[in-house]
Amino acid sequence: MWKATYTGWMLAWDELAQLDGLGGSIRARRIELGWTQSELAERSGVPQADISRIENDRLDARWSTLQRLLTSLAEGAEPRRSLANGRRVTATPTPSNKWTPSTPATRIQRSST
Amino acid sequence: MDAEHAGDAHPTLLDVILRDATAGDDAALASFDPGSGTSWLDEVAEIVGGLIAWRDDPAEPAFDRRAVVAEEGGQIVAVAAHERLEHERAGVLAAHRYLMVVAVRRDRQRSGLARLLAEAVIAEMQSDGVQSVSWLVHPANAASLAFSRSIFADADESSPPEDDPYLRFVLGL
Repeated sequence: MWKATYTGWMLAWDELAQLDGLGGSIRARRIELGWTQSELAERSGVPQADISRIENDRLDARWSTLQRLLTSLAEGAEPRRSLANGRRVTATPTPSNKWTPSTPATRIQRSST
Repeated sequence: MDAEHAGDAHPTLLDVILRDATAGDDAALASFDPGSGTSWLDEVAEIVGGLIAWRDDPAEPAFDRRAVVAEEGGQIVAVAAHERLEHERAGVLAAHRYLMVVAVRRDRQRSGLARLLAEAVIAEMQSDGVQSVSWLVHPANAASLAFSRSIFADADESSPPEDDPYLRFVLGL
């Protein structure tokens, strides 16, 4: 059901029509990502109450609403671009200049561990 | 590196203690307020709040993670954290480090703390034999960009695709 494309994980539209219980698939994908309904609501802009009803196949959702949900679920599979995952590099750093402190640095008290 | 640093180019007299963060700092870091209103400041708050768990992650000892706090009057007013860089093929690089964050508490910004802490951390890296330090700045974060370009004018600045949307600064030590 979930197909890898250059943008990450995307639901193949031609397979979408074959789904038996789209709501259950959305719920399964959300749980797979470790998201709550509230988190999916925040990411997609679809109210949490609507998500609950869609997942339980109790709401005949508009196509644009489904697109917002599916886009959010697809983006969730991509690695987050953040300061915290910026440590991986593709080349060894080769800086062109060397740093010289302009003022005496305050020393850091290091722990004994 | 990411924080609001405008006006940080000329440090005033500061009476702070710089020390390694301890597990006992966890609660203070969780409530540390670097400001809000932008996505990168929200990210900084999230990173600072999880620093002790990040540093002490038993699955990542090879990264030699460090978290340093600036303490003033018994309160944490600034935080910095860094670790070894990882090369996609060569693995962890002991002589090259990534400065993940330098954050100053909202009410102590523009005081020179960012410069004092960043320079102290980088000077320590230099004395430990580190050859380069890298950091990322969001291109819309004008204050941090100005800080990086003025305080570390010798740093190389680039936009590698793997760091999109951030700009990467690399400083030789």
